[in-house]
Amino acid sequence: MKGLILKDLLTLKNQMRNIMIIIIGFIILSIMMENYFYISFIIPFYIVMLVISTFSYDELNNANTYIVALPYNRKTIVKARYYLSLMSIITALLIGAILSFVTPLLNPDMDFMSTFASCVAAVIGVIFVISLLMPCFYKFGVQKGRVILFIAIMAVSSLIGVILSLFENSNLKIAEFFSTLENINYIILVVGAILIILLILYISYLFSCKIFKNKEF
Amino acid sequence: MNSISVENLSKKYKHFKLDNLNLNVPAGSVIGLVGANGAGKTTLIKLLLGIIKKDSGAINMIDKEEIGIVLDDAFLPDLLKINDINKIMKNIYKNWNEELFKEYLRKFNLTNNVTIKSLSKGMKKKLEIATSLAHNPKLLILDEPTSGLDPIVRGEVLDIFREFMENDEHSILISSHITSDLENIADYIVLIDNGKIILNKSIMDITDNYGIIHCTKEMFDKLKDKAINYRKNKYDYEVLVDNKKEIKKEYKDLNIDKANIDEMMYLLLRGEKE
Repeated sequence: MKGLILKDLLTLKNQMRNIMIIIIGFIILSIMMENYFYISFIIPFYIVMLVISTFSYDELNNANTYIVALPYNRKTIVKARYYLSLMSIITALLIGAILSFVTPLLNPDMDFMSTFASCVAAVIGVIFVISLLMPCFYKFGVQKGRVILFIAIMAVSSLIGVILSLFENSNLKIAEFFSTLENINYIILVVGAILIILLILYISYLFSCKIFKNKEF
Repeated sequence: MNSISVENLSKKYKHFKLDNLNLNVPAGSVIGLVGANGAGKTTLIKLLLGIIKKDSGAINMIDKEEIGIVLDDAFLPDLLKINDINKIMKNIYKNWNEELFKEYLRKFNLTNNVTIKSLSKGMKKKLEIATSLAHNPKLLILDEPTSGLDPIVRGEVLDIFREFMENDEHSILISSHITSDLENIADYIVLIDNGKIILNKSIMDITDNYGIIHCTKEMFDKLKDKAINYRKNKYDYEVLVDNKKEIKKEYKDLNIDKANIDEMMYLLLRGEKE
């Protein structure tokens, strides 16, 4: 499996110049807007999204076809991708922590905890996105996968909208439910969030394995 | 001992099916796979390597660790550099031999560490061939490995394959449109047409027994019972036979040409039958 992860890392490394240009672009944008919150979530977000670009790299040169012919079972190929995702999540959080430490030095109005919280929120958001994207990409390929994901997001968000409006019309109070969350212990909340993230990634992994098992190239 | 044995292998697509294929690749032999475009050569190779799934039948093969592959138009992402291939493959094949890989790269003049993308088609093919050989495989599965190579490099590559075959345990399954390459290295020729194997003969059998006769209408009328297939040209008949020794005995003055694979293929696939 190490070989597969290395393949993705080395491909990304050869794209490092482009990646750095984009990151510097984010920093410049952030300075121009005088909004340091912006870099503290956009950079971690971008780093996790890089996993998605490795899917497009595998479509170059029909690498997918070659990789399934190598001495790996298909599960291992999918697993390597999810390990890469975990690696990118950890990297994103580390960079987020560094940024959260640095930005308050530039802007005294900011503090570590609130900046880091926005970075964590961005990473959690992007984990949801990649958990949906990866099975979609395995099923439909990168081009079609993007379109289908867009349709899915539209469908899910409008469904949520409908459900919420149903709740509003009834006597149930969602706001009351969320206010009870504040009373729960902070540590339980963090541990819970981590467990939920891992669970979501794991479910996404199971779906991807199932899809990739019968995929033909 | 067979490196590959295939029994009743079938795979159905909407407009094409690979139908009940049986094939053995004995250790120590080179099998040349020929056939027109879309005949099913690549489908067969993809089935063997698990790139696509079979509908029915059985495939028995040696472990994938011991197989070297060159695919038609598929390799690692082309943003990678040549040295990256070494780093990656070292972690994929247990028997990866870094020194051997570098030796092949030197042999093929691939000494600059550039991206795969920047290589010419021929150079890229050479890199793929070097990669297929560097983990000391016992079996090579090669889909059009010599396409895009100039005659000199093709000669070099064929020499490397010949060298590979010096070990009795080694075998090669190779598909190619350049049939003269196959005549040079194959022990058996397998002709696939429309998803079926229509010929599976040793080169020795072909050289000893097959022949092509160019003759007049009168001669053709005498020969036609013995012909496999024939083609009527403007001035003569071209007749494929598989028992040239007997015919030679009967018609001593008749000139029987050696059947090369291209002509045989053409007559078998497009010729007429009485």
